[in-house]
Amino acid sequence: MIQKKICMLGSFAVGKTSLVRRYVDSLFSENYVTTIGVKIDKKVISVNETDLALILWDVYGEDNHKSVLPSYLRGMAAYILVIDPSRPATFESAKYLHTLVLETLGPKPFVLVLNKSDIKSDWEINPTIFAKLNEAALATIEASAKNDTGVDEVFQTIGNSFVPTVL
Amino acid sequence: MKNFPDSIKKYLKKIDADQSVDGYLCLNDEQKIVANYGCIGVTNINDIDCAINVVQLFPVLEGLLPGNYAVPTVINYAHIDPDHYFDIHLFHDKLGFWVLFIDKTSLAKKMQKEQQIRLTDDFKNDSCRSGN
Repeated sequence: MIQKKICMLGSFAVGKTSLVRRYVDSLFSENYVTTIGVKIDKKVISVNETDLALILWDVYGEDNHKSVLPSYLRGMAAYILVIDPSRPATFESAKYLHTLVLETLGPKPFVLVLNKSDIKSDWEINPTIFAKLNEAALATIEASAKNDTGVDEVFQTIGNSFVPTVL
Repeated sequence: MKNFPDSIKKYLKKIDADQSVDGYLCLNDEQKIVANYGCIGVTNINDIDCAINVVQLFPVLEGLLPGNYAVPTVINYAHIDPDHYFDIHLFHDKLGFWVLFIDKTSLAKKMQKEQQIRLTDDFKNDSCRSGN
């Protein structure tokens, strides 16, 4: 079976853990519980009749991302960059983390997630940062772990990037 | 301290660690397990089937093998089962590639409580600034 390490990256409280929990366990909680270190989960999906195990590294999100250790990124095949557009500061964090990946590992495929689409009326998109990340991403997906919208699409898009399409 | 292999004793001395090791693996160049010991959370390393690919047994190692670990690498506070956090140390020497698991559960839980308070406040402040 093919296995790939996927990192969840983004500022604190953008919903990284909630996205993983929704996807892996079909659960959601309103309670915000911060992540220490890295939580590792595994989910097997099928892409073009090929089994693919996604090893999900839910990396803690700090307000000061300089403390994100490059050792967490080692061996990463792709990443999911999560923003909470209702908190404009999380665009800056996403930009910093994207740059950190480029400097540490070089270009890696990633999906940009605009999370918390259930409160879209509160969103304030940073157009400059969004345009740059959107251009570099495999896809940009609006999602809500709370409403379970867009979540499967996020992980399936990452999975599809590893398995050649059968024509 | 348990009578660990010299490679581990030497490594712990080098990093000036006063802690014990809860479990370890030693792999050869083909990433086959040649030595194993300990218990990490719900996983009893003593009982693992060494014929199975190590990355299938320990998904946390996906992407990390093979690798050049002349400079040791540490994965801090890896939450690899529901109730336990481990620091995972990766290094190699002339005997093979070593993976050490050191339990950090009590410290991680203490840090989680402190961080929870701090980041909950930061989250509220962020939300206030954005007018939510």
